[in-house]
This record gives sequence, C-alpha cells and structure tokens, in this order.
Amino acid sequence: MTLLPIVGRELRVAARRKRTYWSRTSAAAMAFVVIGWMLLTVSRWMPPEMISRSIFSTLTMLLFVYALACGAGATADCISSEKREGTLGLLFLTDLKGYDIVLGKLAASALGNFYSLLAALPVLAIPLLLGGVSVDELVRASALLVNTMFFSVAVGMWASVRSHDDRRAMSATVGMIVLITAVLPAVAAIVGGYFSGRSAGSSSMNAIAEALLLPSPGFAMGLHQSMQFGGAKLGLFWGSLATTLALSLAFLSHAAWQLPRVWQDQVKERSFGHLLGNLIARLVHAVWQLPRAWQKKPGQPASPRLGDFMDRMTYGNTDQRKRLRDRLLDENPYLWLAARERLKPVVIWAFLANLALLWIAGAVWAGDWFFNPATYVMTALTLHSALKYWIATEASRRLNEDRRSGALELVLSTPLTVPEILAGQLRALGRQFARPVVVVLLIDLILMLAYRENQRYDEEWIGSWAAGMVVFVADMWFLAWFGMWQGLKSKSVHAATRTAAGVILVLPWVLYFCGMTLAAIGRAHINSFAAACALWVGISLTVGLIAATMARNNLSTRLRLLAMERYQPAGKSSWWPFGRKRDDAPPVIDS
Amino acid sequence: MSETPPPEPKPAVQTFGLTRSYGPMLALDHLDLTIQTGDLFGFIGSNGAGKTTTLRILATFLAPSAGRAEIFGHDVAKDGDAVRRMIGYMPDFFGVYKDMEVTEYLDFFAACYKIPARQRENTCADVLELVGLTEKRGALVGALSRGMQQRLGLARVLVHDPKLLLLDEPASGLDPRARIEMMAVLHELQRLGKTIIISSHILSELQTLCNTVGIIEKGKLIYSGPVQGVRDQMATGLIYWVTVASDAARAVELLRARPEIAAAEPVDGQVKVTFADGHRDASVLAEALLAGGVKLTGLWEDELGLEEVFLRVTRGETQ
Repeated sequence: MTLLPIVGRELRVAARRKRTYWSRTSAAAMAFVVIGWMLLTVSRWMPPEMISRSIFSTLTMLLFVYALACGAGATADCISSEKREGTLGLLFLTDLKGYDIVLGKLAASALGNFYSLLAALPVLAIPLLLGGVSVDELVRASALLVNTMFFSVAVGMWASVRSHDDRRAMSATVGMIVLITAVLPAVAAIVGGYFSGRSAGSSSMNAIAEALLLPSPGFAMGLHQSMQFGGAKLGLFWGSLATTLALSLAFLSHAAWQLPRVWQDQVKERSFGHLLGNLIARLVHAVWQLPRAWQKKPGQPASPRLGDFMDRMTYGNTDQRKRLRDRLLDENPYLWLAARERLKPVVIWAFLANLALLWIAGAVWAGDWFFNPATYVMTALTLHSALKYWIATEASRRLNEDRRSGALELVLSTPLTVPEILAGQLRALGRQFARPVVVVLLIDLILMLAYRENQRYDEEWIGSWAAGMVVFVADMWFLAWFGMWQGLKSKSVHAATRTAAGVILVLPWVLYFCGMTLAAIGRAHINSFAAACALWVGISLTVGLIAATMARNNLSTRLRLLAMERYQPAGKSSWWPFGRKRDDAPPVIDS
Repeated sequence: MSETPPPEPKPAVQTFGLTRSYGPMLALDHLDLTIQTGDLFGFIGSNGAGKTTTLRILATFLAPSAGRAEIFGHDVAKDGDAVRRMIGYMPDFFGVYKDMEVTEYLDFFAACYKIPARQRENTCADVLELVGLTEKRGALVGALSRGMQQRLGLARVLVHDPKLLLLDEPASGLDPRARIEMMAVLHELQRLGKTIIISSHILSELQTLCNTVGIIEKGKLIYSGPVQGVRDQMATGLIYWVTVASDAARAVELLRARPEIAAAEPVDGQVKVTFADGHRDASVLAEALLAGGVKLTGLWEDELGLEEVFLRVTRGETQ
C-alpha cells in the first residue's frame, strides 16, 4: 500500500504545473528586487555592515508577513470549498483516512507557497557576503520562516475543516493567526509588563506571560530581530519555535481527526470564531428575549430559536423585510438584492468601534507615550487597509456567488439591464461604506491635526495625510469597480479579492519603488518629499483609474457573456486581470 | 366593398437558418423552426444536440452566429428587451437565493419585470397558488425540496404573465410524484393559452403532454410537427404481435413464407411480425395462418412510441 497516496499524487501534479516553477522564480526575483532597491537607495548613507543588517532584517520581515498570509491565501478554503461543492464525501467513499486528505490537501494548496519561500531563502544569504550577518542568524531566520508558514497553513487547514462557508473559514483563519501571533503577545505584555520594562511583575505573572508568548510566531520574530541587534535569548527563541511547531501539529492532527466527522453538512461548526460569535449571539438573544419570555401567554408558540434570531438580526422581521423591499425594489431590484443584509453595515461599525476601544485601551495603558506620529500613522493605515480590503471583498461577492450559482442568468433573463445591475450593486456598496468612509476621513483629519512640531503644523506631515486621504477615497471607488469585474470573472471571491487588492493596492507601490530605483540608477534623485509624495499619488491614481475604467467597460460589454460561462467551451484561462475579448464566440445580446 | 381578411397571426417562434458555433464546433446548423401560438412543443435531442443553445438564443442570452430568430414577430437579437417581457425562461440548472423567503424571491423577480408594487403581492399569490406552493410562501427557498424549488422556478417564470415559456429540462431530477405534478401544471398552463417549449429526456411524458415535437441532432432539425405525424412518418417496418392457440413455431414458419412480411420471430410465447416497407395490411397475417391451419387468438399493432421514433431517427452521435 502506498503511504499517503494523495500527497504523492499532488506532488506529481505540482511537478507538472508551470505555475510551480514560475512562482518559485518570481519569489526569488522579488527578493532580488528588494535587495537591489535597498542597495541602490540606502547604500549612500549607511556603512556596509548596517546595509547588510537592514537588508537581512527587511527581507526577513517581508517573508515573515508572506508566510503568515499563506494560511488565509492557500489553505483556508481548500476543504470548505469541497464541502460546498459536495465532492468531499466522494473521497470518504474510498479507503482514504482523514489524515490522507488533510495532508494531501495541504500539499496541493501550500506547496507553491512553500517552494516560493524556499526559493527566497538563498537570497536571504546575500547579506552574509556583505558581512554583518552570521550563519547562525541565517539558520535561525530560515527556521523561523518555514515554521511560521507551516503554522499559518496548519491553522488555515484547521479552520477549513471546521467551516462550510468561505467567509467563515477565512475569518477563522485570520482571527486565529492574529490571535496567536499578535493578541497573545499583547496580552502577555499587559499581564507581565514583559516588554514595557516598567515593572517586572510577580514571577507567576511572568510565567503566565511567557506561556502566552511562546506559541506566537510574532514573539519568535521579535526575539530574532532583537538578537540580530545584540539581544541574547537563544533558548527562548528555539523554545518558541518548538511550541509553535507543536501547536501547528496539534492543529493539523485535530483537523485530520475531525474531518471524517464533519464532512457531512449537518455537523455543527464550532471553530473558535463560531464559538465566540455564538456566545455573543446567545447573550444578545437572551437580553432580547427576556422581556418577551418572562410570562407565558396563552396560545403563544414556543420561544424563537437562535437561528431565527440570527435571521431576524440579519434581515429584519417580516415587517422590516417588507418595508425594505417596498422601498428598494421599485428603485432598483438589484440594489435590494445586494443591500438586504442589514448586518453588513453594522459589522463595519462594530469593527470601527472595536478599533476605537483598542485605541482607548492603548492610550490608557501607555499614557502620553501612545500619542505620537507612529501611532497616528499606524491607526490610519489600519483603517484604510481594512476598509479597502473589505470593499474589494464585498464588491466581488454578489456577482461571483450569483454567477457560480446560476442565479445571475435568471436575473439577466428579465428586462433588468446590465447598467441597472451595476448601478444597484454600486449603490449597495455606497449604503454599506459611504458613512464609515466619512468617519474614517474625519478620524484622519483629527489625527493629522493632533500632531504639531514646535506648535506648528509640518507641511510634509499635512501633505502626506492629504495624499493618503485622497488615495483612500479614490481607491475605494476603484476597488468597487475593479472588485465587481474580478468577482464576475474569477473562480472564487478570494481570488477576486486578491487580484483586486493586488492591482489597486500593491501594484502602485511596486511601480513607485521601481520608479524610485530607476531614478536612483539614473542619478536623478527625488530628494524632495513633495515630489516623492506626488509620484506616489500620481501612480496610485493612474493605475486605479486605468483598472477601474477597463473594469467598467468590461462589465458593460461582457457581463452577459461571463454570466453564462458554463455554456461556453473551456478556453485558456487568462492571468491578465483586465480581461480579454473571447474571440471564439459571437457577442451576446445586450439590448 | 370587400372586407379585408384579418392578418395571419404571427407564429410564437420562428427561426430562419439559425446557426451558432463555439469556435470550430457547430452547435446549431441552419435551424428552421416554426412553433404556433398555443402549442406545447416538445424539443427532443441527445445531449449536445443543440436544444439548450436554441433555447438560450430564444431567451436572448446568446446571439446567433448566422440566421435569425423571432418571437411573436420580434427579432431576439435586435429587440431583446421586448422579447424578455414576452418570455419566461427556466434553465435546466438554475441557482436559487436560498436565504430568501418564497414571497421575497417572487417579489424580487416581479420587480425585475417592472411590475408595480401594488400588483406584486396579488401576482405572487396567484402564481404560488397555480404551482401549489401557497402553503410555503413564508418558507426559506433553501428549505424547499428539489421538486418544490422546480415549481418555484416555474412560478418565477410566470410572475409577468409571459406568452411563451421556454423550459429546459423542467422535470430533471424530480421524483415521479413531483414529475406528475409538474406535468399537470404544464397542462394547466397550456389550457390557459400559453405557448410552451419544453426540452426533456423523458420522452414518454412528452408523448402524452405535447401536441407538437421537434427532433434535433447535431444542430440540425430532423423533424418538426405533430406527434402523430412523426409516428406515421417513421412507421417504416410496421410491427404486429400475434398469439396463436397451438404451435408458435409453425406460425413463424407460415408468416416468414409471405413476401409482405420482412421478419417473424417468437418472443415469450408470442410472435413478433415486422412488415416489409410499404406493406401495412394486417389481414395477410390472418389469411396466412388460417391457410396453414393455425388458429389465431390475438392480433394487435405495436404502436410506435416517441422513444422508438427518437431512436430510429437519430443515431446518438452527439451523446
């Protein structure tokens, strides 16, 4: 009998896939680009040893973020998608065991990411040649990165096994990774005063803090960076790595054990996020039900179930549903379809409220030290990034799900026109995001004005905030259009969101760094901050405008064609995110 | 003064050399089809024969590569909006919004057809009653059985009171009871004056349901017309069954000796007789048997079913 048959098969499939080799080459090339860029830009004012350390440190940090993101990107939806499509049960009709499937899926989903990381590691050794970085440090960094990636994909697999819905799988993965990587160290810092250096605290508190810290890849990363600059906590570093590895194996083992028990639909999902959400929902439900349930009235039906309560929270009661229908259906039926989940805007407000609470907690805990430019910038970056990613997901979701389910073609068989569908979706996004965007802009304004140097506002400070705010609003608009287009043409919401975020959010930065590098190579240094800022805004707006315009044109002309993709013969898939005219089929009827 | 005759009513569906290709693959090859108003037309063909492509062109989803199609005189490629108001299209596989209530679902599609809010409530109630789902009006669509979802799909295509229904495999995947109920609803709709085009693989049901059929293979229309017409047209090699009181082997021998009979063979104690082309006079059977001293106890014609007709006229090349 072959050991782990699916793993073997997936490895053979991956070996035949061009993407495996391309992703590997791209990862190494990207790492070279980062090194080249740093050498060209910072080499003028740093001694060689410092350059080497900076390159090593930056590259390690970038690869660390990449490794952490792999769980959400690669494995979070690999089992849950099979559950939704009903194909998982077929595997269990064979002799395969849970661990066969979990390890096979892990190999299939994460192998490309692992190869990419592996390809980038030799590039990490280049600083070794420059001096200032030791072989020990390189070994530690490599172990840390591989371990972090394993942890991330293991968490993704665990969440995927426990979820049916892709949103739930993704949020459980991200939530668990953030919890272990960042929240646990933060709690440990508060509990034991571990990092603050203010007071050592009692030994038992320190032990608790250490126990909270050890599983965190973030803690190991922190130790690695501090050791690089002279710290000496080698035992703790390897201990943290071992704990994270054990935790990752525990996640995988649990996933393998649970998979044969949860592949059928009726099994209840009890991921961490689900448990937490369930607990909160039950508490709210209890508060809501108490005034209604204290006295049994004659003829009263049994008390409503939690599921009914959640439905009511999401869509409103019968009257509220009808009122919303009456109001929106006559305006634009698709607007109602895309906006009928009342909880969607509420969740954004809840997110903003949670951030506000965290901010207040940070301010109370850290005191005056908290109020500094770095905190302001980090706050704005977090808010902007979260809302941008959020709108990319929401813009792509409705069209993607409706196209895949076949519901979109039913809508298109009615006299509802393509412009009406697009307008309805855009207005739904507006209802969901317009007010939070205004609030975030107000927060930006407050944070911008909160910092003054020598009782004066710094021009560069104000300029960079203004640029950030302009790009934020523009990106939200671009992402709405580009997200819709990607939702229509992509295989899944995740793929659509990734592409939209990649083109609108990441590509301008890549082009910006390329521009700066070329300027440095050509000895045309952009020394003025205003010029650098204008370059970044210019690139961001240009890229976004091109992408959004192309998306808009494609949506207007090709929505009908893509809505019934399953009837078209399978063409070559295109990596080009702006779409390509399919020339083997005549156009659909648009009138 | 001579009275001008009333204009000829336009056919519900008319196609003229309708052609559609997907790259090198020809899905429809110069299809000329006419369906009269009020017909219940059964569209028959193997998988990949071109049925769904035809229905999708009529539903304004696909543009023809060549030729044209008209629905009540409106060109589907040029006047898509008007056509969409006149048709109700139900694909073979359609997505439902599982988290909607039945009423919400119909209300939404009624709004897509621009039915005013005042009328929508009554319209939804009427179509739910027609398809027998009134009891389920408050249920979630996802909680309905497959048969009920199909009926809800039928209710959806009826909300705007279309003149023509395009139903692609409406009974696929349904259990026998749900199929019978679906057929009953279709009968009722025909009685109400709707023109219905139904594509199905369950030919025995189409045989009793439809008054006209079209048989398509490899994108070409092989036959289009009344169900009885196709039987008559295909009735080459007419088959009779014969039972005799005594020796069946002797009867076979006697029948084979007649030039009008192409084949005779014993099957389960009976004799299956196939006439030669151009011969259909059953009296020769009795004559031959009586002349040979075999007592005839039973004689009946094997009526050609739609399935038999389908198998005869197609070769299953598109399966």
